[in-house]
Amino acid sequence: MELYKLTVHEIRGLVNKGKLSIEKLVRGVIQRIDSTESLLDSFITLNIDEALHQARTLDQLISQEARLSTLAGIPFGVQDNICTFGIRTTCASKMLDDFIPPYDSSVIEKLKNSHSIILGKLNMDEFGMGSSTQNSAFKFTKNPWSLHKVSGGAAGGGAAAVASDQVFYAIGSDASGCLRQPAAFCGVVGIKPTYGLVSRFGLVACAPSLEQIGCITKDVTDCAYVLEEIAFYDKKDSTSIRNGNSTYTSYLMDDVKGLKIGVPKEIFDESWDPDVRTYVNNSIEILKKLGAQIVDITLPHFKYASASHSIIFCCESSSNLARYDGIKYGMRAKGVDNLEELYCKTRSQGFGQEVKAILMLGNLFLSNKFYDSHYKKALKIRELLRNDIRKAFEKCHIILTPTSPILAFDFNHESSLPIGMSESQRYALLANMTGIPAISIPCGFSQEGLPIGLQLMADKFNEGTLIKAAYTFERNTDYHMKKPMKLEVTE
Amino acid sequence: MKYETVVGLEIHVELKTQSKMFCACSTAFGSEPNSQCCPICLGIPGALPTINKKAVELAIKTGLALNCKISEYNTMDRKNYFYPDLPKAYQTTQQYHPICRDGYLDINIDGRKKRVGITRIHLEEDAGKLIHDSENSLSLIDYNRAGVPLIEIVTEPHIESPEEAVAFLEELRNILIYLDVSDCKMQEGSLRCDVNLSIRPKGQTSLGTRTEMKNLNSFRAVQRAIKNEAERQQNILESGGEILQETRRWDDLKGQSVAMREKQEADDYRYFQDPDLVPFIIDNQMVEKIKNNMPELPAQKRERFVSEYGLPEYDSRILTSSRELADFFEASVKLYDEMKGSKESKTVSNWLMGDLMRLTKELGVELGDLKLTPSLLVQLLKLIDQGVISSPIAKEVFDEMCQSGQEPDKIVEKKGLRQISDIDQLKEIVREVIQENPKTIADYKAGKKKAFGHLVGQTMKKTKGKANPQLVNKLLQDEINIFQ
Amino acid sequence: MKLSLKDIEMMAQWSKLELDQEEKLGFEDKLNKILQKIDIIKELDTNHVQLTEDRSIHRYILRDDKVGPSLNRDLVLKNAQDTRNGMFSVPSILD
Repeated sequence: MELYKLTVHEIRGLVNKGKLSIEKLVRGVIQRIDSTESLLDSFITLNIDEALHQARTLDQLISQEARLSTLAGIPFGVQDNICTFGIRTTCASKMLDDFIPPYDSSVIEKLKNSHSIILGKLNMDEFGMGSSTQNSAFKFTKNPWSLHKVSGGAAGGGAAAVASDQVFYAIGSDASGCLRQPAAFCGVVGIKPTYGLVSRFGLVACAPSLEQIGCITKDVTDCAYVLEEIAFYDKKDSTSIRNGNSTYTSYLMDDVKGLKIGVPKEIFDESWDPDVRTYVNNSIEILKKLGAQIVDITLPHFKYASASHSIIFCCESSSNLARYDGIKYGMRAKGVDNLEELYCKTRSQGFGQEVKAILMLGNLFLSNKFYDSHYKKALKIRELLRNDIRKAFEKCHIILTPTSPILAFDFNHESSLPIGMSESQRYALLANMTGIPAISIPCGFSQEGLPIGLQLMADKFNEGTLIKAAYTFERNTDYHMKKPMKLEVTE
Repeated sequence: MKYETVVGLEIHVELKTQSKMFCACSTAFGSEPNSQCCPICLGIPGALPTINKKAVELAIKTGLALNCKISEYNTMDRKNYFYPDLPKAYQTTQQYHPICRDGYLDINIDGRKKRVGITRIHLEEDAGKLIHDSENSLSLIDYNRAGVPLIEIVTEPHIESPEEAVAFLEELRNILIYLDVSDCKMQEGSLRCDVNLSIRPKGQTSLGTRTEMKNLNSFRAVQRAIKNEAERQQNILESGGEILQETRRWDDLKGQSVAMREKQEADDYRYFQDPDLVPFIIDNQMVEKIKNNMPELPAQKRERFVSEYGLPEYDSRILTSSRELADFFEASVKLYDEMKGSKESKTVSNWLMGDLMRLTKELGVELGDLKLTPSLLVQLLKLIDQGVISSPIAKEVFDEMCQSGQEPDKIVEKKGLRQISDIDQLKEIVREVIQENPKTIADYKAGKKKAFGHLVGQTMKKTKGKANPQLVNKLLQDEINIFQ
Repeated sequence: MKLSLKDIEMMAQWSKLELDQEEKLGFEDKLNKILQKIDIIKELDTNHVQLTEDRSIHRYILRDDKVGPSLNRDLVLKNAQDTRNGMFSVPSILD
């Protein structure tokens, strides 16, 4: 049996019946990584020895019939902007090439306590700034469905790793669709939970008010399992919110009868790839047949969402990335004569061009001259968008859009566009601007065989409704069963 | 032309909390460099801040004492600039919604009351400490202080002279110590003051260009710097020059200031609300709770000391100049009154204002450094009242007691300082004195009253001060009359 | 509003970036294009919009003033490139 092809919930069953050794499972995925990584480049750092060690310890625990949590023994990948104690955390930047965090992020602490096994740190766009991993200082992650296409971004590494069975799930962050868009490009499931549901302590965020930790999984059931584990109140994160309702697996029900699904009229325009249009329309039909009610809704300020998202993203980033000054950690330029040179040379050598552009813009928008006309205005537009969303949810339970209006694109395409202005994240970033949860699930394939993602959004803390709708769609379609081409170099 | 000086103060006060503003690291002073740091106060990527409740409470307490409005809606904001002592390259402060605003403090200037407006008080975090290694041309950084909670108190430009500034600062420091908000030790940097100063022709209502003076390490430095800067600005204006809006650094040794730098376009701190810290609400309940637990403030205590203890205003002002001294006074009076069954506040006040002040000044210490307790002081007063020791001896016992902490009767026994009241023994000594000083006796008889004092002095000298003074007086009179 | 080279230099100074002439020109071009796209927000009048946050959502818990463990000093200094006597080191700020 090819163990790496299993899902989290399948492994769960086998382990519970005593039919699966964790060491064998871990060896299985390590082998899979060995044979595919040179094609995909999903990882920045691997954690093989430690993972095997943990696996053996766990097998012992299991033989002693210890009660273990759902994710015990399941190997996963972590986006490289989430701090892992003792494991290099680079944010895909030269700036942090040799940075080894002296602490664990809260989400990693939680998963370690659940005995889930870290396999390695996943590639991304530098500091999460980009939509294709082309801004990674180290490598581009290829799309498992077509190696000359991007895997999306910022969490391209995570999406490619899950889609190619290198890991069973991936933990990452989403500031503008950074988990959902790559999930859509790679044909897997990605969720950005409600802002405040998952602790951000230890996430090297660029835009704290937009960014949220979430996961990429092989199917909706796994998504519910992982989300259940990582959603908790953390007093170390001031934006963390207590929420009693977190038994997401109880929403794994095949039932959308009476569910009102809103489709915003503003989203339809000529930017859509024709295949995306076909399959999104098809998805609407499927949901309708399953008993959902489709309603027209309106988001009057949608056209200003990208621009205002860009402004907020740049401003928060410019301040959050100021700490990289060559003094306490990270890169330090050689041969500097004075303090000003230490700052300027370190930062000029350590940051990539896209990061520099964002930092400069952010500082501009926050300066006295631009503060009101740009930063403050963007905040006001965010307020208007929240209002739009509030009104929309008076009419429906779920808002439906494509995750991305375009398909995974070729390398070197789109790279001149700044974060948030990216065509592929126009719909996804709505959830970041308003703090609501959103999921991307596979809903079709283009003529050239590239996956297409459907985005469902719900009101704050209604992850359950999202899971239910997504699960129902998945149960009645087979897009999630399809696997990318044969990837092994050695076969 | 006559000029007047306009001064506003910005006072940074380190709050007396156990842990830092945004993390659980200790705020203790004087530890090994970088031993009180964590991912949060070091600004390690990913770490997030949480707000110290005690710091918020201390800021509210200060605001209430300074008659401020307490804000319901509070934000923490980022002030962005690069400096090695600032780990995140931004200081978390309150730019847009400070915790307190629109208050005032009344001060006393030569018996006249003056009201100084408080513009705002905001919470913020301290920066680390830079140590200069000139030998290697390096600056070394210790982040122990980074993240220690501060409040910044900003006054209106209501201060018109160096004396007013010092009076304001003294009263403010006194209040902050009374409130237990801060140690206010300028040497350790727990109280820091910047001076904003401009001058204008008398009668003009608009303000002149102001300078900001930093590095003022004592109240005396503040006083000198204001005088010096007002003169410097006046000289410039009188010679037809123009004041530059700049930051200046006070050099206390040279007694002058030097320009640090001019304000520039690049000095744009790009403030914005910290997205890692959501706005927080201070509700009425919290404010009321703090209000109900406010200690008596110096001004209130001053009035009470006059009315309750019948002290002169002068005594009251000195005794309330520190909370420690005022508490000591009240505890002593209580003990003494219980013993005597009558009010003897002035006796206690005299000892504290006289001998205690003298001793602390001589030794260069403060009350807290001495081993004196109210109980020891009252025991000493008892010995005087009972005639066990004379007043001059009591001073000697007092000094010893303050330093050793030994009980006064033990000191008296040990040193044999008990008062001599034995008539026969004293009579003998008095006779000796009379015999040895025939000339003085003659002077006295000739009408020189002062000569008598000399004879008393000689008698005291022979008894090493232990003789009962009333008895000596009487015996001398008797003996001189006998010989006459 | 179009950014000039001087604006770019100011932005670089705020960001502590050192740019050569070619980079400056590159950013001038690139950032102006972005600003142009962002200009779409100008057509919207937001003067009536209040930035009053929903106060009911601030379930804010202030932290109790208790001392917890600090990092071991070796860990504090481990990621730094230059340290001396247990402290972080930079070129003298007095120069």
